[in-house]
Amino acid sequence: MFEFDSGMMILSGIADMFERLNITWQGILLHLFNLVILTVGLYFLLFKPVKKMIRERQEKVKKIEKENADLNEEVKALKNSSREALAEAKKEAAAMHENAVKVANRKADEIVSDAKARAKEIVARTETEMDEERAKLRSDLEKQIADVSLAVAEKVVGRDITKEDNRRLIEESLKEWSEKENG
Amino acid sequence: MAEEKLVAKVVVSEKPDDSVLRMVAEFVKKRGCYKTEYTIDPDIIGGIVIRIGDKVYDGSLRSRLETIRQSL
Amino acid sequence: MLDLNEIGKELKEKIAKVKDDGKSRSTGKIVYSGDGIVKIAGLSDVKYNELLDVRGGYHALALNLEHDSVGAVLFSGEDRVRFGDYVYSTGKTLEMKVGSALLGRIVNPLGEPLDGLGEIAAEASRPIEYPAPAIMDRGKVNKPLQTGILAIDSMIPIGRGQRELIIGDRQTGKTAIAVDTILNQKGENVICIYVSIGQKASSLAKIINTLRQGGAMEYTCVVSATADDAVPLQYIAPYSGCALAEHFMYQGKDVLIVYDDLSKHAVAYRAMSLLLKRPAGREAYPGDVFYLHSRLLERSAKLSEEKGGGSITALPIVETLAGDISAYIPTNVISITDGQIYLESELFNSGVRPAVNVGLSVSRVGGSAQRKAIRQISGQLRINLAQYRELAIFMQFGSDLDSETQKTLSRGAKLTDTLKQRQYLNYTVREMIVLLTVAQSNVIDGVPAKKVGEYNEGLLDYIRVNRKEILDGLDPDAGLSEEMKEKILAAAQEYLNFVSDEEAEGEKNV
Repeated sequence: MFEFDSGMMILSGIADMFERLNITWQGILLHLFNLVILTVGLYFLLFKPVKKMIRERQEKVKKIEKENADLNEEVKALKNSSREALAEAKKEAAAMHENAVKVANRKADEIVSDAKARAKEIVARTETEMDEERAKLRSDLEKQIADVSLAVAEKVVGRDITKEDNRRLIEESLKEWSEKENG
Repeated sequence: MAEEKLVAKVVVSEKPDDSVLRMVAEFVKKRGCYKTEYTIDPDIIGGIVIRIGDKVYDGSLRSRLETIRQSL
Repeated sequence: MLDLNEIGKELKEKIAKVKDDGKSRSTGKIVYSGDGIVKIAGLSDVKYNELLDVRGGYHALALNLEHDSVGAVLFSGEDRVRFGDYVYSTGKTLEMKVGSALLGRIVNPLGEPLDGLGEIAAEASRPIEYPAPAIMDRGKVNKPLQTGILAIDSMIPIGRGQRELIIGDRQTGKTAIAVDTILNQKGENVICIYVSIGQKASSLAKIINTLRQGGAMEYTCVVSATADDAVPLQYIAPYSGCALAEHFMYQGKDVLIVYDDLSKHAVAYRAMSLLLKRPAGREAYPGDVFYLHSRLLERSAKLSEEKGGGSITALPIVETLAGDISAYIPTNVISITDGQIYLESELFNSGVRPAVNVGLSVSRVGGSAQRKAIRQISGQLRINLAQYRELAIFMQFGSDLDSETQKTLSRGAKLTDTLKQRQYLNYTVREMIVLLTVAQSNVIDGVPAKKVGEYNEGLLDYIRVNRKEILDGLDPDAGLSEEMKEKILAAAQEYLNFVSDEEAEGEKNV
């Protein structure tokens, strides 16, 4: 019972308050109506431009983002290309080096073969010099022998030649010359 | 020059005997000489050298030995 | 080591071989002796140019046959021969030892060794005076003799059998050209003879050293009569050398003989002639000084195929005084030879080495012997150089030049630079083709003016190593095809890029 009473009392209190505040159902409805109009009006007047602005803003951000990405890509490509260039340069350097080494090697070979040829020549020359020394010794010896034997022959012949031998010798010579001149 | 041509200069190692003198005289006469000058030079060892004008006939043992020496 | 028995046996054999007969010879007596000249009375049947035996083992050469005396020159013993000494005729003329045993040796004009390398076992001997080959025995000069010097092989080509005079003042590199030519005959199957007449012994020693180091002595014989040898030896030296050359030529071989130099030879002959009291003519030379050289140089020839096809190419050298090529001996020898290489001291001093004056140098027969490819690319060379020189003189007036003229000038300067060549650095024919092709193309415009020599040397190294197929593919005896030319130029451009890259990098590093 009591509970019912208190409920009743709250309701009648609110109704009483409304009455006192001069709030009527019609008034509420009018207000509501007002609100609706206000809302719609504001929506068209304020929300749309703001939304548009926001959208634009968003697009701008997107664009910047895209630019960023492009830039990134470009940087990446640049990085790649520089790496490539580096590799190429390295390759070229290697080729250059190889070429230099080749030329140097060839020159070195030439020098070595030159030195070898010279060494060979020195050996050959020494050998011929030795041979020459030997030949000289030999010819000296021969000359000595010949000289000595001729000296001996002179002495012996000079002592042993007889008058008869001499006569025969002269006769032979004269005959030979006569024959030669006549025939 | 002309006079030289007429004289045959003969060099021998020892005094020549008659047969040699005869042979030489005959040899020289054939070459237009009638006068012979003899020189004795033991250095030629043996044989004879006759010089008539420009021509030298060298049949000495010395020159033969010399030839051998040179060819060695 | 030494076999005494063998020596004994040999001696016995020699003695057995000696002809044991009395000799009858013509004799004379010395009535005058002085300055190496003897006058002999007697010797009535001696012949001109006969070898005489003077007592004491000396030799003389009979040169003047007069009414009652004979004038002769002594080869040795001028201070030993006395008045009244007997002189015997030998019935022989002077002979030179010949044969391949002389190759690699240094001999005097009688064929006796001077190098201390032992007796020469020569296979034969040959009179030093010998008639030149007859007209019908001669063939056409059609084979080139490569000197390895770009300026000469491209513009003044020398053929085998030709006589090409090298003329110029002292210290202009005359001998250097001859020596380079000898060095370049390695592997070409050419026998070389270097005759030194009246040279300083020291300079001859240097030349021999160069030849030996270059491995050229294997096919070379040096006949030497230096300034301190007796004048008669200097006089006969070229004839001896020629006799040796003839020996090889008649065997069908190709021979190159260098007479260094004929002006000293003429001077030696003049001294002899004046002492022999022969009448003196122009510049105090005797009347037969033209014949002296003509009979020597006429013996150089290319033999016909029937005669074996051998040849003697002569490179006589004549020294001028102050560039005067109209003096007696130079004009004589110029008129005898088939062309001359004229060296100028001005060019030499301005760094053009070899100092060949292209305008005054000619080769009258070598053109037909030039390799076909070389002939093709060097045809324009002379004209281009002449144009350049004309312009260069004009340029000295300092007038403004249009770009066309400037290009001609820079091209000409670079061409001149290309023709410069270090001594002992000989080019092969193929290398010459490369250098000449590049020097007359657009590629050379990219090379800095002062770096042409460096570039050329580097280019040859580069091609030898990296583009070997170009050198292998070149055929000097065929025309140079456009395709080949492209290849050469491509390689040259490649090397040029390579060098300029390297240089740029080098600069960066600095």
